Amino acid sequence: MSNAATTAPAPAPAAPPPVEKIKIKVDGREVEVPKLLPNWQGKLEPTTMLQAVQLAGGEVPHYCYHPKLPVAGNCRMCLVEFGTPMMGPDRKPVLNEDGTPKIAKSVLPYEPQTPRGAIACATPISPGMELYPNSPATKQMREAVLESLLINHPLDCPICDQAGECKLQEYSVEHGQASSRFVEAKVHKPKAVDLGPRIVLDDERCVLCTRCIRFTKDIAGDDALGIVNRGSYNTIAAWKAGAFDNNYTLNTVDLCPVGALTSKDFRFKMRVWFLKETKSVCTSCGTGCNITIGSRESTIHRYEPRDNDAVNGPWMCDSGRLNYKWVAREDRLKEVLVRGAKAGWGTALKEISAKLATAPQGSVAVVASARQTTEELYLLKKLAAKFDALTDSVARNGEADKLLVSADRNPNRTGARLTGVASAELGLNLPRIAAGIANGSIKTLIVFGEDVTKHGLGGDLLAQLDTLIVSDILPNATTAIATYLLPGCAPAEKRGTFVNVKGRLQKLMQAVEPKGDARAEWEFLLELVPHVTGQSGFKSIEGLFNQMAQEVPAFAGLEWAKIGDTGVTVQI
Amino acid sequence: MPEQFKLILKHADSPGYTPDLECYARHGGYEALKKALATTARDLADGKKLSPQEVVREDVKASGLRGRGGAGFSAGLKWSFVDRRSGKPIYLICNADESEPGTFKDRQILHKDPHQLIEGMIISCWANDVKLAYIYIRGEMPHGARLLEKALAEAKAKGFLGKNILGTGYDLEIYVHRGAGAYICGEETGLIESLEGKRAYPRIKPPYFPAVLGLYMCPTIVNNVETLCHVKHIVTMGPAEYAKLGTPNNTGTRIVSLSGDVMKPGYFEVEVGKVTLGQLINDPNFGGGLRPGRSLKAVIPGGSSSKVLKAGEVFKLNRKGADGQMTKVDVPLLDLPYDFDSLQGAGTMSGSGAIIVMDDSRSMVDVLANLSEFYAHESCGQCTPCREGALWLAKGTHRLAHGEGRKQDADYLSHIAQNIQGRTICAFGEAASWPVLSFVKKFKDEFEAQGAADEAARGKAARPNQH
Amino acid sequence: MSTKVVDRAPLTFYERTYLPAILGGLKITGKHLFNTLVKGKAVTMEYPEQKWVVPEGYRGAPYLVKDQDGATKCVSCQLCEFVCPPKAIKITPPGPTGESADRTNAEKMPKEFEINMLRCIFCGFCQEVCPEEAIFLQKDYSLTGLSRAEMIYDKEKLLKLGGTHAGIQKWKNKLEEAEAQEVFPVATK
Repeated sequence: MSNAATTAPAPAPAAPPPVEKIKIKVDGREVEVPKLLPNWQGKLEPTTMLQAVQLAGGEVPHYCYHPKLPVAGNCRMCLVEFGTPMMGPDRKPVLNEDGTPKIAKSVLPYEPQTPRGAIACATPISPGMELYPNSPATKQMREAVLESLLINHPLDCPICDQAGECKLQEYSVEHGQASSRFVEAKVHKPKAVDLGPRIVLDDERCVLCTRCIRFTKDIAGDDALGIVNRGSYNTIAAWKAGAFDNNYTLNTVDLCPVGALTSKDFRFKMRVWFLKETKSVCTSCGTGCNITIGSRESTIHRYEPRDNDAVNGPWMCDSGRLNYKWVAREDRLKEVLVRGAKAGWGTALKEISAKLATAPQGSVAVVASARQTTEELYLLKKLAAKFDALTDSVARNGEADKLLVSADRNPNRTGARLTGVASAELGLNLPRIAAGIANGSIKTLIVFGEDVTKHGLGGDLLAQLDTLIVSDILPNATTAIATYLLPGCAPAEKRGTFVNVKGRLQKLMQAVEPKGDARAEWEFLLELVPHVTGQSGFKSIEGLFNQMAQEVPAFAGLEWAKIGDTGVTVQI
Repeated sequence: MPEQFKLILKHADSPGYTPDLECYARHGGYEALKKALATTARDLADGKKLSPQEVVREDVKASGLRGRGGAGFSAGLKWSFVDRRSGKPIYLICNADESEPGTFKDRQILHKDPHQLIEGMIISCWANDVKLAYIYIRGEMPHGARLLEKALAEAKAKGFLGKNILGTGYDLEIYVHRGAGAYICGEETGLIESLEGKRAYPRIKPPYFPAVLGLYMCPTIVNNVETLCHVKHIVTMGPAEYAKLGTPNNTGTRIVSLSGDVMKPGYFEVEVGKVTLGQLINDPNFGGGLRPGRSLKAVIPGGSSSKVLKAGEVFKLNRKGADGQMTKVDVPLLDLPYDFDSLQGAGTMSGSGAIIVMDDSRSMVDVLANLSEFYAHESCGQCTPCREGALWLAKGTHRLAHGEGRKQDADYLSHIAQNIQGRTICAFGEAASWPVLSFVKKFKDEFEAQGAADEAARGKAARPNQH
Repeated sequence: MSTKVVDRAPLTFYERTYLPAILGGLKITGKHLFNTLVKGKAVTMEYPEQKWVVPEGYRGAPYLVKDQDGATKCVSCQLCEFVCPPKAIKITPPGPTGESADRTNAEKMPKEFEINMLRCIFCGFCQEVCPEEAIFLQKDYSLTGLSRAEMIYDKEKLLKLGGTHAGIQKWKNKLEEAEAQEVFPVATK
């Protein structure tokens, strides 16, 4: 990871123990690799051939191996020819005439003229070992395994959702043969099997790598999948039809190297090569799983988890993954409304600034949302500071699970706290705001992204206000009675940062354009806030973030450009 | 005149012998156990001291006993690999999942003399500090399982098993586990998985060597029924005496299962290496020769997965001369001594000791189609080459055997088989491919003739069924 | 590299009068005049009353075809959309809830398939890339319409214009093969 803690001096990590290294040769090139490397659980284990080749800059094709799953060694695609230093009867290495150690290539014990491969994913390396990941024998083994995988494959790429990101396709191009010599009848297996509420299985396409079984058993902790039948007729099955229903099933779709497991949600929706990939963050809970948004034109087609060992590893939950459809809802707020009538941004913002400019101290209150970006919360806090206004947000809690879902369903509660919009416990100020409205001291309420009628500020109370300024994405009871309604953006439609429950600050990038007249909240706040406060502001998200970093202690020293794709950890 | 040498089956086949403890005890049963438990520590020349258990383990090693299950690996050496420092319990499993086609030797012991196996097991467990052992018996042998359960209860009642065996303070439990009918359960790591209640998928080695990470990830010894019985006799006779049986490096006796086209198929216990393949087939004491008017065509010498031998073949074997020098000697097929090393020298193996004889009435194409079908049916399907290759071979040989062959099918089949052997998780890959490789290599003319005839009959249609 | 300038042969006096060229041209004109007026052999085609007979292999407008059973061949793989240089093709895939294919044993067909004939350059890439033999450049070269919208041909129109193409019925064959699948162990003869 390129981004260590950058805020207030974090406890210096203890100096790592010196890494023991061993020398091996990969394709004749000498490399030094660590003797031990983390396994799928992060425990140190002897370095495998596959890891060594990867460290040497090479690649070993594989189907069943996955760095975050227990090793199965069943696909045999990673077979690699190798050699070990020859030992004499005196247990001393045998040397060549030039003094170099003599290497004994691996051969079949019963057929010493035939090379024998070892599965690179499970075989540990030893000092002096030579690996030949590109030798003719290795290539022949790969070709043969690929041929075996393809003989019973239905070759239905035109209707397969995996086409374009399929390891069978990729390896066929790299390591396969142009034509088949298979003249027998193919094995036919069940198609479009309903494995669970979100997963459909095509058994004919399956290469039986068991990644899905291992994931659901060892990572998700739900031993729902297994293999039935025997030999070439092996098929993946759920223990009961449709029983593969935990909250992590869709990860198996990502894991499946072929098109056997496909998402019911993404089924037949769009060919993957049309999808634009945008790096973003899931905003369904406080975990902040890193995602890749797949969109085409103005439509979001899918979310996929993006590797980040500091947050979610390669996984994400199904509920977060499928929580994107509301972005395309027809009833999205698309127009700026001033007292119920359609207006332009210029008019509305001018009127609001004029109103706020004359508002007396303490007559304004702000209810922000912990689902907004840190920059927006920062701007709202700045606005509130002008009037010494009460600010708060709304708590949103659920049940945490063992893997990723956190109990805090607000994606940016930490951000709301760090910017000073809310205290550690959200919603403490809401009764005070209600009381202020009731006793007439608060005349203007600014609400962003929350339906306050559900949080103690009922319609009759709001009716007592002079001005109700509301920005939201979808209509609700509060937007219905807003004096000024400013349509905002979904996280996928704007840039900004979120801080997760553990203090990881991460960037969102914009995947699609906002709907109608909607604008990113930070954009119009950047116009509004300087008008009201008199301070000059930046015009870009980068400038805004950098300014915030200077003012908010937790973000001290940060710059937008320094936040990598996987974010940085801040002191919370 | 070669004769049987009955060590394991000494009493089992005698008239009136019953599988109960009372009968076993009358024939000297459990004396070896008493002797083993009374073993005293031994001082070595270099000042080290062997514990009584180590003495028995050394004796088994010194006896030269080789595994009778198929691979012929030294039993004593296998025991010496066991990780005894891990602090984890050590398990012993008796592999009674006898399912190699042509093999029916363990069944004789299980059905006729279960106490002999149990005694051998108790000694082996004691010698290896095992407190819990299992007998994994093939699902298709319910009678054997019932007999074993009964025998275990009898042994327990007599204090040979359970808590404080014969007052020595040693505790041992043995459980019988019935398989559910899969050939792959005979593979030791597949067997362990099955015993753990999982699908019998053999484990990858490394890292899961049973001696270190076996049953429930603990050190585990897996031995064949016959091998464990021999342990009893090694204790009774002493390793030096035992090693005098058979030939050097191929000690003891073994039970040979003879089947196929012979007059008198059956099982015969012989001293290893003292009887030739020809004697086993033709001698009136054994197979009694082929049926009248038939001539020998081929012999599968060690269970269906061993490579076939063709009648008339002559092998070059290493023989130690009187001067101690190794020389190459020509040995015709029928003069091959039936032992581990000679058959290995002939390019095949003695495997589970099952000889299948085929006479000239047999079509090698049909035989191979039959064998390949078996392997396609029994492949567990875990790893790619075997899962897809075994069925591919079966479909190819089936096509050739049913009039849809092609001239190139001989090469086609052996090329597919080449891509299986040595690339799989377990030895099933070899088991499935060796018959094809050896049949096609040794009877290539027959396979090509069949393909050519089919092509001619079809009028040279390019491919039989194009997909 | 050196350049060698070759002198042009000078025109002769006769050539410089331009008479031979003029006469040669007039000869051809006269021949056509004679053929048209006297023999009645016209060289121009009276389009649109007369229509050109399109030769085999002509690349006209791309249309979708149906198979011999009257089923849509297109499976909505969107390769043509991808390969189309002027981006004339727009396919709407069926999505998870879409109508299933009208063809035996194929799970997918397009919900909508549009070709903007104003953009189409008749290059034939769509036909070449199609893995299902579902789109063919046919013989229509004269496409007219009164509006831009009218020139966007939809699935229904494309299928109607495309007609039938009897070929290998891949998906149907797969089903037949699956139904006739060998059951293992096979019964020996």
